[in-house]
Amino acid sequence: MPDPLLIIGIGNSSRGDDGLGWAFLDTISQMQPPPGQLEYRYQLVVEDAELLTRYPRVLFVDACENDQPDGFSLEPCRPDPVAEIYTHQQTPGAVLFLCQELYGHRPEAWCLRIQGYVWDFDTGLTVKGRENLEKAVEVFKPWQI
Amino acid sequence: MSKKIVIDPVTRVEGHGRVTIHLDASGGVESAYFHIVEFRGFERFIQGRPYWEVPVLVQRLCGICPVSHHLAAAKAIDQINGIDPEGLSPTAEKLRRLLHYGQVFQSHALHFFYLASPDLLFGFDAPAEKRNIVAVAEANKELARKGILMRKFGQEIIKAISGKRIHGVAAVPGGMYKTFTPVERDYFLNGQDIPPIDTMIEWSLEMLEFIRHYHDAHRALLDGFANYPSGHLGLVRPDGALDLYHGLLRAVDSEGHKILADVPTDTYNRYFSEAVEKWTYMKFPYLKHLGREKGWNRVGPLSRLNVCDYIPTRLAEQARRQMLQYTGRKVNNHTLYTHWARLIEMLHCAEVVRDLLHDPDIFSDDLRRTGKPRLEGIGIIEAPRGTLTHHYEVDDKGMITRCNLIVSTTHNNEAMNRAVRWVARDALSHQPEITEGMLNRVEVAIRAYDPCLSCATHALGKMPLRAELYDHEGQCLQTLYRHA
Repeated sequence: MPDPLLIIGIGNSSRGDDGLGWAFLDTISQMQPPPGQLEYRYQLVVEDAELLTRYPRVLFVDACENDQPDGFSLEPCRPDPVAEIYTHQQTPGAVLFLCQELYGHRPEAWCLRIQGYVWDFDTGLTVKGRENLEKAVEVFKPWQI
Repeated sequence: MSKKIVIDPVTRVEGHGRVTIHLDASGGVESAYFHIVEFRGFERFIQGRPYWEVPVLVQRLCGICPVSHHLAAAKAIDQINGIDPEGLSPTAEKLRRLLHYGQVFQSHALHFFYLASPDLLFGFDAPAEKRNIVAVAEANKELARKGILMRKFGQEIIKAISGKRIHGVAAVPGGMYKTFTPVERDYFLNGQDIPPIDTMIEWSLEMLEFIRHYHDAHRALLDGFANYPSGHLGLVRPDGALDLYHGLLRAVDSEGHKILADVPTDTYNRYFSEAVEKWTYMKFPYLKHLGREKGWNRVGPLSRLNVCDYIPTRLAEQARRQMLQYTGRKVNNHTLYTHWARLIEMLHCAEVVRDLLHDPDIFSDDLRRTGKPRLEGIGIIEAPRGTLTHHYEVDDKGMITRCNLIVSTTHNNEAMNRAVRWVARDALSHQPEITEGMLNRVEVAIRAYDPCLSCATHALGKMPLRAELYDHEGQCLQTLYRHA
């Protein structure tokens, strides 16, 4: 039995491919057994540092604009003490840093970035965005075991 | 040679604004403006939608106080459904109040701990890289942990009632969608998963001690900073008590004389008008009988304490009296006392939430009332940042034909502009060099109002902070950057 896994999908399904993070959660929520605790976020916030204390492993899933050779990337995520200007919108690294600093807890953390292409006001993913999502999900299946 | 300074964006506020400060040839501040330069247009694009969609649609104005927009719209839509605010079932009204006071509690916690506390802990002139919540976490872990849990408590109240922490659905025309259960209630009382409501009250009292000591230690600065006369507007109960969900509109001048004497909320448009300026998308509301120049009012925590006769919970009323005793004045025009007032309101909200959690009415199934449909509805509520107005008209098919929103930050537009001018003249005039700390003082004045520029018009974007000095020919003389 793997350690409990927290999976945070970041994005907005009303902004085209910005919904990739949530679509990832929607897809893996159909898996049996459930892959972990799923949390949907428009953006990461300071309070998420407290949530992280309950899990030894966390996966942040977000859409990205940058070119990804495979359509996505999966990389370790480390604490980062650099705060965002807007305070109520934090990076995964900043939330990990707050978790470590305030609660002395550092979960094993990964960032899954799925390449998107269109960010306009619209629901639904682009064809290429959906292809990237499917590839990311395939990589996640063995990763969760 | 004249110069222009631009602060863009203003940081640690909700949404994005810009400040420009014009210096004359001698280096004195000639003028200063707080601009909102983006446009959203909710008032226009909900036209043609069915009225019952509105409470769900308009809460998308904001990710910080969607509950306030949801409930202000719901109050208006109740009337279109034939139900006045007094006509809700006791259960529906109490659940809405529980939702609303939980929302104000979490929003005030967010502002105090995440946005304002870096200025208070490290000073206005501290390095920019230190003025953020991460630095607060490093410097004062206990304060940061409590701040996180206080905000979480309010958000969990919202989630329990509306299903989600952000953009949930709770109110329906004439009432509420679902009732509360004893199991949901016990989550907030037993302390097993989150600190209980009694701890929220205890910590709110601690924060009041903190701010009182802060005022003792920095009294000259706080009393002298952005202190200027203005009107103050807020809702009060018929007996003059503070009420954040429903009441009568009252405004007082800088000396405490009533300039709007307890009028029903559905008559607001007899008394208020809105002016526009070409340099900002945010309007300037004012009392018609006093005119644009003298009729503007501040709103929000400090103004609410200025207009009410008392706070109807014991500990918060004691705290209000202590603040009155401290200043010796019934009406407080000191911008930075807003933080103290905000913490008094947090305590009040916690007390109200505690009382409601112990009220058996919240478990009833008597959730919804219906009446004879009308063509107009006006909902006014005290949002965290101040008086919030939603006004809708519909056709005989129930489609929205007209919408007017006056959000709290809009009421504070003139006040924030005056604060910017005050600080600019105090901190920037005739200085040989404009430092980053000086510019932060301008932001401190704006930040005290906790402006939500998203609500006030704006769309999402991301910019680094840049301040530039220009001469009268447009040549850049000095540039300052802020990345965090």
